[in-house]
Amino acid sequence: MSLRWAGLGLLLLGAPLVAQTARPPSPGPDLGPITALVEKGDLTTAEERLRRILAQGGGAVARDLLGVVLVRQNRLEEAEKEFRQAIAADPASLDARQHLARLCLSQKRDADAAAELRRAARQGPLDRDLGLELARIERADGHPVAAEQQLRSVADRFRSVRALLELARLQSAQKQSASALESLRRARAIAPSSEEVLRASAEASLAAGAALPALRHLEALVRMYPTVARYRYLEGTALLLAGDAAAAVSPLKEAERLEPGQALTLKALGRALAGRQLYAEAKEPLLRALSLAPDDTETLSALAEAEEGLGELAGAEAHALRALAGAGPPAAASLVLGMVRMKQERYAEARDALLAASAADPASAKAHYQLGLVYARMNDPLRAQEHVAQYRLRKEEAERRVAEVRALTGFSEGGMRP
Amino acid sequence: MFERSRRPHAVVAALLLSGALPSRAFSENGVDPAAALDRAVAAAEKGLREGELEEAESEYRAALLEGWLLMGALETAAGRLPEARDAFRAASTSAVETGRPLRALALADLRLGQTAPAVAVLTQLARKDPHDAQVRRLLARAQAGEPSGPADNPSPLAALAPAAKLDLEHRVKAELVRVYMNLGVMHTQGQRFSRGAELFERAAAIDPGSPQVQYALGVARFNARHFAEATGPLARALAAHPEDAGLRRMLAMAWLNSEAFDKAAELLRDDPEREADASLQFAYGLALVRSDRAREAQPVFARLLARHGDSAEVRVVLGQANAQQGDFEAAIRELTQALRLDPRVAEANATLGVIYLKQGRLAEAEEALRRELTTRPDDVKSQNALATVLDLLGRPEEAVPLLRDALESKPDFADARYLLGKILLAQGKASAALEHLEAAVRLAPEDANIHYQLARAYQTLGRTDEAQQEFEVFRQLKEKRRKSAP
Repeated sequence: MSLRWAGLGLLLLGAPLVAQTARPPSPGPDLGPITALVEKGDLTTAEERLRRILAQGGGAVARDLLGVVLVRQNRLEEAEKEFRQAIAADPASLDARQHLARLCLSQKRDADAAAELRRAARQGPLDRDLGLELARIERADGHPVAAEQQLRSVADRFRSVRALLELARLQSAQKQSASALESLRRARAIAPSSEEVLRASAEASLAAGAALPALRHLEALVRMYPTVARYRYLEGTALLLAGDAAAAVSPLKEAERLEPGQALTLKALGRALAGRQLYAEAKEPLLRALSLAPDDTETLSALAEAEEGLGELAGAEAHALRALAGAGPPAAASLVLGMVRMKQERYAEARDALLAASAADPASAKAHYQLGLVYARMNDPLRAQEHVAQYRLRKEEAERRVAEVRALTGFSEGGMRP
Repeated sequence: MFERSRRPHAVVAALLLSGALPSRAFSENGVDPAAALDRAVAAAEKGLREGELEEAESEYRAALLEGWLLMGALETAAGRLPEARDAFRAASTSAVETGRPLRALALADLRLGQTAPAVAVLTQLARKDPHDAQVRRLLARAQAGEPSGPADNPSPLAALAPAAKLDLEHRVKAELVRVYMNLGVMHTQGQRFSRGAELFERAAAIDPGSPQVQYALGVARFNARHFAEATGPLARALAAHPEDAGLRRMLAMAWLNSEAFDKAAELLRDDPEREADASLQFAYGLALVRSDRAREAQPVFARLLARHGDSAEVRVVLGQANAQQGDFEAAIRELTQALRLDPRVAEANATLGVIYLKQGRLAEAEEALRRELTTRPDDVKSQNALATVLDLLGRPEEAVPLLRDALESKPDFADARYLLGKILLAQGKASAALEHLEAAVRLAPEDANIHYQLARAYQTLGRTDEAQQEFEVFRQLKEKRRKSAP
């Protein structure tokens, strides 16, 4: 069997004689026997017969078919001439336009191909591969709406997973996360065990902040592809997002074992260990992550958190301040700074930092807990109680989220999933 | 290190297998037990034809699931329960679906009397579908420690005649090989050679005698730059097709890159294209030099230079050949000429650095090795050589980060472990030194110097018995070396 590994030359040669879309037959001579000759490979006889038909008046369809025969004989210039004449004879000939576009693509004449494909698309739905190609061109040219139109058309007519994946990528790039997730749901319905579909689904879910669906896809990926570090990393990241730092440690350690020295993995591992209050253990991966990405604000704030936990206040303060000086500092940096200021008994500064932390991450129970403490120290019992109440609420929410995750993963602090 | 794999390597050719498989084993009710498997394979190949690779992959994965479930059922019917369990486990990691394979796996465990793993699997299933009554019943039995018997889990294939079972087994195995091969090809076509190799390994585990599978596995490992691991399958493929010159060359390159230079030289010696092909001739000369046959290499390089013009890479290997024969001056001439031709040529400065080190010209050695590391910062041998030079120059603190970098890239680098351990010991960090020296002695047990430093580390830490033991090994190795010296 032959594969069409996306070489455009192959696409041309593999082009179907009968288009993949159903259209009413064109009037004119019966070309069925000649089409059969072409499919059998008897190109010489097919050409002779077509030329006879054309000499008697022929028609656009016969001329288009002659172009196809010439392409198969690698007589590309003559073929192009025939396609153009076919189009001149019948400007509505979608097949001839698509054949001409394929010819241009095979010759790397991208601008000509794009022009023909756009004209063809105005006349009717394109073949699967050409629809995908036009979508690619439109996206590259900054026309996402036109690209989306093609992708939807291919996805709907051919149940094409490729089109759905491309559509999801396009939608993600346009921040349409709900649409992207819907496209991926459709792709999973057709190709549930495709690695690419599962990976895209997990990443889109993570990007949308949906840890549980991401974990479902990642469970399958990790099970089916146990040697791929990226899936372990994503699993750890999803668990961190869901607030289950304890469960995140194991996949992140495995990711680091499979592909050592990756800054993102080291950072996530450090965050997971710090989240379990294993501060000394957390420092090593965080320092290594920082050596690979010295300005990463998340790493800096995670390191600051570990140092604060170890009572290394000077280091914690320095790293938290460095994180806060960077672009888009994480809430954790303000939280650590607040905790450091508390220990330094600089309560007003502590309060400001903790309020900033709480504003940046409203779900953070820890910020409310610390605010409760700081207001108590500042002799403001009302506010202190208010934040303690908020702390309890957030903590319960976090525990509920973790329980949901563990119901899915089966993880328990006493042991691993079965 | 030279770029020894720059010759165009055949990407795994389109190995996709197709065609009807042999006879079909039908059960008594006329239903083909492998129908689902066949359907999945057919759907995958339709996906391939349409350029829908994701759909094809998903269908192939479904085929693996069906294939392994069938294999498990066949093994169960034959009473080979451990093999059945392995098959069900393979099924459970083949596709997104886990219900059927995990249930079958738990039943196999129960029939083997292994209730603990059965409980783990059934708990997982019960968590996914708490309303599945059968799973809950089985879980209760497993938790009660009750094993299962054949009556609890009759094989769906039990009614098949023995010949039909055998026929079905052959057919399923052939399908599984075909699916693993095709999935592997899809990965290698996407330049994901390690992933492709993993799938070819699965095919090879089912059909180790297939030269085609061995070829695919060897080529994928070669392209993944796992040269040592490529040699086995490539050698087996070559044994089946000794006339395949391309395969012979690839095996030679795999041997060369895994530093089995004598084997590379042997394969390249009679290559008919060697004289005309500069890369092959260079590889042959290099293999000769590195297998201590520098004298034979020199005319090879002379012909190479005469036929293909001057080349920095050739000058480097000629320099190394001279150095190997102890002619340091000639070596320095060749290496200097190489650097004139291409100041960034690999290994010229590294070799000069090592020559200067041997000559005690430490400042020049440092300079040369630093130049090498400017162009090839990850070259662990140069990192180690420079660390040696720095230690000799009395700057061990500068050597330590170099050695740590080298060990990060190559944790089994015995020389670097030894030197780092020695420096740490001298700095009074005996516990840290011990970790490296113990690793070094495991990697190079015949190296007397490592045993000596290890003995000193034990001594420093007050572990006198172990220290004594290591001093004794050191003494014996020295004695052995003295006796074997010419």
